[in-house]
Amino acid sequence: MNLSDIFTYIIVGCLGFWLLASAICQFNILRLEKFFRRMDYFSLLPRWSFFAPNPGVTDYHLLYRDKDQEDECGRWTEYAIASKRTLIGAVWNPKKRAKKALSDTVQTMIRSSNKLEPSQYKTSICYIALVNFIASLPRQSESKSTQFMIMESYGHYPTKGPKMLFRSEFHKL
Amino acid sequence: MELFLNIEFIYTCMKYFVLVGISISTIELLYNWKSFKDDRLYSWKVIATRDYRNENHILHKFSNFVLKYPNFLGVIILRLIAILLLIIPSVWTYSEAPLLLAIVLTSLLINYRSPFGQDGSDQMSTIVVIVLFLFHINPENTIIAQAGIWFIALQSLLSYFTAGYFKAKGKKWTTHPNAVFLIFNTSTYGSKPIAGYLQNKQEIITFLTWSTVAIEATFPLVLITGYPGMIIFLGWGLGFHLMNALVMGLNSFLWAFLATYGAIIYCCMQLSAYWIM
Repeated sequence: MNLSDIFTYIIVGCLGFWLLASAICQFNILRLEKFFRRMDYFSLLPRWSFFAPNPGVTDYHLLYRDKDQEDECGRWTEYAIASKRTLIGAVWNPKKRAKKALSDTVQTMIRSSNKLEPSQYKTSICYIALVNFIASLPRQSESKSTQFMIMESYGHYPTKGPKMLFRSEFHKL
Repeated sequence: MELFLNIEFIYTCMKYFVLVGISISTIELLYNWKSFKDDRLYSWKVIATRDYRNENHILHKFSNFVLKYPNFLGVIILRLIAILLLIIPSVWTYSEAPLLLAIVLTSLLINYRSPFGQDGSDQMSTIVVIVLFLFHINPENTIIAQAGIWFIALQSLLSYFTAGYFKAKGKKWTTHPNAVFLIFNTSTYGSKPIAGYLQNKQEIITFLTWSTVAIEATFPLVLITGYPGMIIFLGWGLGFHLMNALVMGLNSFLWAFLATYGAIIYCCMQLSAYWIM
């Protein structure tokens, strides 16, 4: 057996293992998903369960308001997560990634706030990223601190009204 | 159809489809360059807090240097240059392996830098470019070439089957089949005119919802259908991804998944030849 054969066996073995690990992670076979995902720093183990079993059927809304130097609260302002759909978006859709990123952070935040203590979710990447993002938005007046809120609505033809999912405390700007 | 039994042709199709998709994604990333600043959503200062390694650890130092703003923009530009050199004919006349390696490494860095905002098309594209790189290390090695094609085909079939399997477990996809309307009804992934058209047309919604579950869950059968049976599945897949691009704005999925179709056809044809023998 020469070096080329060994290289071939290693590559074929790696591809086989990668496929097996991918399948394990989809169906959590032998409860090994967490074990593999913990080591997956480069997103090599895909998540193929698109829109399933429970598809996202609501829109999230990110709102924020500021307190000025006199501790007066301003009005809530919405940062639109969803963008308007255009035909050109089928080819060129640069807003998609930012929209997906905000959607992911908001969803993870909601899940964490339902499961964890405030001291735990407030130190999560998603929470800090959201505060960081809200703080970066352009403001007209000099503000001292900011607060954000996540709301949920039920689409273009809603069957019920929007509801509040989460409201943060004020954070210094 | 004999052409689809030619390994080199399959890899060429795979390469062009995936590179078109990745080039669009890369230019989209550059278009959003401001979001990688330290006071924005993709702040490296925030994302780097995931890394529990000691600050003096060499990997920590390396990732910090490469992924912080504005250095990270260099990673994205490097990926774009490598893609352009591969896509434009006659510009790069040497082995394609070094350029593909550059695309693989930059893709891995982009994946690492993006704990949120990545989607299935990014994952499929990464899988395809890694296999393309492995093939181009030594294109004469037919065992690796075939293993790569089978790997891509099976990953693609796994993706459709998984999506179908989990949809079959969801009430909104099966017992109360209105998932298609509910998704199209959202501003995030839907379209107001289409939601308006589908509203109160339960038969059409049920058909669209159930057919999505049924075809996705049975997609792996494409391997045993042979030609021309495979056209049903692959034609549905093409229409499905085109519609997702048009209605849902999921533009990169079309290219990432089309890149795998050549591999599926190859495996299907190879199995058909085997059954005939």
